[in-house]
Amino acid sequence: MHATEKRPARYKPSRLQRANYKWIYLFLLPTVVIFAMFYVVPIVEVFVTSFTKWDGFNAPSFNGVRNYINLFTSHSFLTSLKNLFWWCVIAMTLHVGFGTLVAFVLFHRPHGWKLTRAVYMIPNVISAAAWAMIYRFIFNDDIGILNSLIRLLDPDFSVDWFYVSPWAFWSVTFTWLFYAVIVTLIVLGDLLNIPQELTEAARIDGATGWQLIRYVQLPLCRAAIGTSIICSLTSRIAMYEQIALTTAGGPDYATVSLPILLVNAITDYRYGYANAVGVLMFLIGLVILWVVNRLFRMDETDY
Amino acid sequence: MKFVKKGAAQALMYFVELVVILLSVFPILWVVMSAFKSNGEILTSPLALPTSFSLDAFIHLFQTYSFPVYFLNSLLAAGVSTLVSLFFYAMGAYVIAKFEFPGRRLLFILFTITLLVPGHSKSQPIFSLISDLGLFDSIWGVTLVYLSAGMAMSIFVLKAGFMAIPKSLDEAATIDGAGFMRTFLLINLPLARSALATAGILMFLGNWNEYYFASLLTHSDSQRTLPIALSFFTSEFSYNYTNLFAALTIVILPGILLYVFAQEQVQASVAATGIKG
Amino acid sequence: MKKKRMFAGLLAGALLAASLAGCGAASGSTAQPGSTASSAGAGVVEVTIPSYKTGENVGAVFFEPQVERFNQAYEGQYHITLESVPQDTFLDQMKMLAQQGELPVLVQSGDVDWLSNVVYPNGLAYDLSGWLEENPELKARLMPDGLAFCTDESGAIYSMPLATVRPTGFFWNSALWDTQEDLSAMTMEQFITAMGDQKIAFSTAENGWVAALFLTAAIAGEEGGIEWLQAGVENRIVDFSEPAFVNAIGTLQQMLQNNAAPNSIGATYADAANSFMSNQAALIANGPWMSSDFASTNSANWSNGFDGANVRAALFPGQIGIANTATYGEWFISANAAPEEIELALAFLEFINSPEEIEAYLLAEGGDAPGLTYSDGFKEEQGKTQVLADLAADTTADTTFVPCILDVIPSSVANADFGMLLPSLADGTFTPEDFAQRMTQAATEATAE
Repeated sequence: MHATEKRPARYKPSRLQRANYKWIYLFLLPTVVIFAMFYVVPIVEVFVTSFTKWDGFNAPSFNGVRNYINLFTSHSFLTSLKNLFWWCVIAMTLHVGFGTLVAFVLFHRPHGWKLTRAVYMIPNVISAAAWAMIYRFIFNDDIGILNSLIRLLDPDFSVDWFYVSPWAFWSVTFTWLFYAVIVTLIVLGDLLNIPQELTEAARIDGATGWQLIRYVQLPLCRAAIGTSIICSLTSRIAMYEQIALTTAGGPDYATVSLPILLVNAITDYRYGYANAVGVLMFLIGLVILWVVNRLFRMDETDY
Repeated sequence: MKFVKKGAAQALMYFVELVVILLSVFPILWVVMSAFKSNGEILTSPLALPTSFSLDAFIHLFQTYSFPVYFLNSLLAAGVSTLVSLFFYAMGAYVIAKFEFPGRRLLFILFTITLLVPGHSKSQPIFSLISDLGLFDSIWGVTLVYLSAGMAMSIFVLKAGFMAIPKSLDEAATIDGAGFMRTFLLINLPLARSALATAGILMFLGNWNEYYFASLLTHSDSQRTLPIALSFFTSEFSYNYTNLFAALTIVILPGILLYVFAQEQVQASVAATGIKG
Repeated sequence: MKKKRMFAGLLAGALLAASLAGCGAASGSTAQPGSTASSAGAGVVEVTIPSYKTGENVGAVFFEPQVERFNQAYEGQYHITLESVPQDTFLDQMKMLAQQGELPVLVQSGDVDWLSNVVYPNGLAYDLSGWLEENPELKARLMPDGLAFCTDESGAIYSMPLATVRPTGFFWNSALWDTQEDLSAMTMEQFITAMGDQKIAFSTAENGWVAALFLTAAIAGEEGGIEWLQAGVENRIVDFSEPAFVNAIGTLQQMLQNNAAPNSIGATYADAANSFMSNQAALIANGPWMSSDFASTNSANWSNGFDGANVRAALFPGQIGIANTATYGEWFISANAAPEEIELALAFLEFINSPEEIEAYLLAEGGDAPGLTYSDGFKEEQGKTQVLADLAADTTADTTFVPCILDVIPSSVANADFGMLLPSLADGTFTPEDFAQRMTQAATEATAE
């Protein structure tokens, strides 16, 4: 619909922009200070000690890539990578898709849109511990709401959703799948920012509702959708409490995640190994960041 | 034909709304309802309405614990940290979104990978820092830590928000003689309101619910936040669900009320400027 | 907009000012827990101890009044103030404070790995051996196993050894299962037959506590099982191919399939306790401290016609009590504490190990103090609590104590893998051999150097 300017490979700042440098760095200062105070030490420590044997207190002793070798030969680690892959696929498609759908619905302001937007945030107010309890009751075999409903049709039905493969994986997935309020808010924000002239122009050109969405609104929201995907994928990498408080990774590691392994290693005072898991979480996150940035051309502005 | 199509679209929209409302409201209703039931009722018929209305659990909680103090502490820690860090991150996200300068890419990557630093790896360095500042067992130490909590998410959301603001507006402002600061404060910040609101609400709720650092960095009753109070009901060998759900209700409801209130305010201010498309 | 900006500016200023004020206040007196000793004023030494045995915690029922009694006994001399820290972050906070060199005067427990690898070798704890030498009466009340375990090669004693042992057995509801037989005198096989189709309130979530206790009893009932468990105290078990273990897993599988109460799979301890206290299961395994849940003062938590007066207790079949006597005690004193604080701490340890306090503890939370000659009224008083009397009657010279399986395997396997694998055992996906093989794999990975 519109041309995005191609930026030269090496950017040459204009004089005006160089005059702005002092402002630019001044503006970055608070964030950099916070970063330095709270993140520099942990990040360096995670990387360095991932090559050591360390109990978290006494001096670490260098042991090369031993931790990484142990990781890549570990059954639970490989399983957690597989789980992460599928969770990422689900997050990118169904989770972000649902959040975007809700954003488009709210954008058209049907009756009750304000209420919908307000209550959609509520699940984010409830702590993970409470969520886990609620879901243990929903998916409970004997008294859970799900099986109570199914038994209306099939009185003999019995599945312990959280504790039998392959249902456990889907049950854990369900605890976050539809709670995409972050996606909705980010996408809705971009939708509201589309200049009215653009939509008007498209309408005059004879674009119908679907065409408008497909060729104008969706492309203009791609940065928001990219941001949403990054947010939801990084949350998948960091997923801990929903799992720890429901299946704890079982049955037979069907729902195990990297943070679960990290915490388990800390329980055993193996901080070096735990931090090797942390390093891999970083690396996976960076790859995701890079790919999504490329895919959604997020560094380019549209206006 | 067109009419039918429109009808179908309408039906779909209402269906989506219904699903969202059900998914969001059901759990909270269930928690509140369970606070009025007995232990046995919760276990044997978790979905039934309470058979009798009892406030005992709430009375017990308010008599034993100083929930108003916890509430104020939570409000202070989450509120102050959110407002301050929102302003800081808006400044950072603004220059990353709108300017080209050496180190831009690196800083952006550094800021976003903070999301992936495991809490357990942060705990020791942060504890030393807070302790060295003399802020151990102080709600201000917790507040300081919360400043750092929403960094990645906020920078992301705000960067996307600023990038959606046409550059022509900045140029026009510069031609009118507006300086760097004025362009940011008077042109960009107001236009990025919905992104600011999103980031602010997410940070606030995250901090409102934060438990690990609050419990690590405080131990006295006067510095306690609501989620810590909640954790007393989930400790080992405790089984009183009624008290647990009552405590949950006390913790969750203020969060929701604050959110609804903030939502109204944000709504009103966006409507007043009338900037959206 | 202006308003908003000003507001933010004000807040930033306020935050800064307040943090400065916070600094000032902190450098005064309240910076660290336990360091608040003030010998000024009326000469009262005061310390603050962070503890998780407060408020809603099951341990608070006895511990909070005990500290009050201490304060009364030493009125005008010592005073202890308790501050509650949630149990799940308590140890984390202690680890952080240890790293800062700011441990509280009295530290309540800690896991074995942390104590033996970090606290004791680094001189963070006060050596109690000299003090115990000067108090032979007190020392005589401590259990020899524990005393030996707490004494290191150089003769130093950092952890206050325990005077009491609380053997864990199981409870049954005589309203649902009216058996007159001596259950602990049976073999495991006879017990299972006698139990018929009575339901057990299992828990498999968290660390699978209730299941782990029955499993431990089953292991102890197997040939060589007792030795296998006891050897794990010295060297954590990483090989689960031992026949005693595999057979015991078979027994556990049988119980999970035939005797598990509804909702046992995935149940937390809270679920299991509630299931027992609402007449949905006739049996539950747990430590004697659960006795307070069956007192009439707790009737608000009962439902469905459950009556605590019907609850009876027994040690496990084969006269097995689950308890580890070769272990660290509950308390150690920080080596950094001031001399007068250490005096207070020693007075506190002496107080809680005095005959009166030990007896009060046994009456409240159950157990036995082998080194103590009980006072006249004690047995009678204990008899008033049915389950404690039951357990005391079962604890004889023929009783064998074994450590719980969860205490002799790598921590992460005990806290995560064991419970995570149980559902597949219960639904028959795993054979006992599969289960043992998974446990070995998990333990090997958890200890890989």
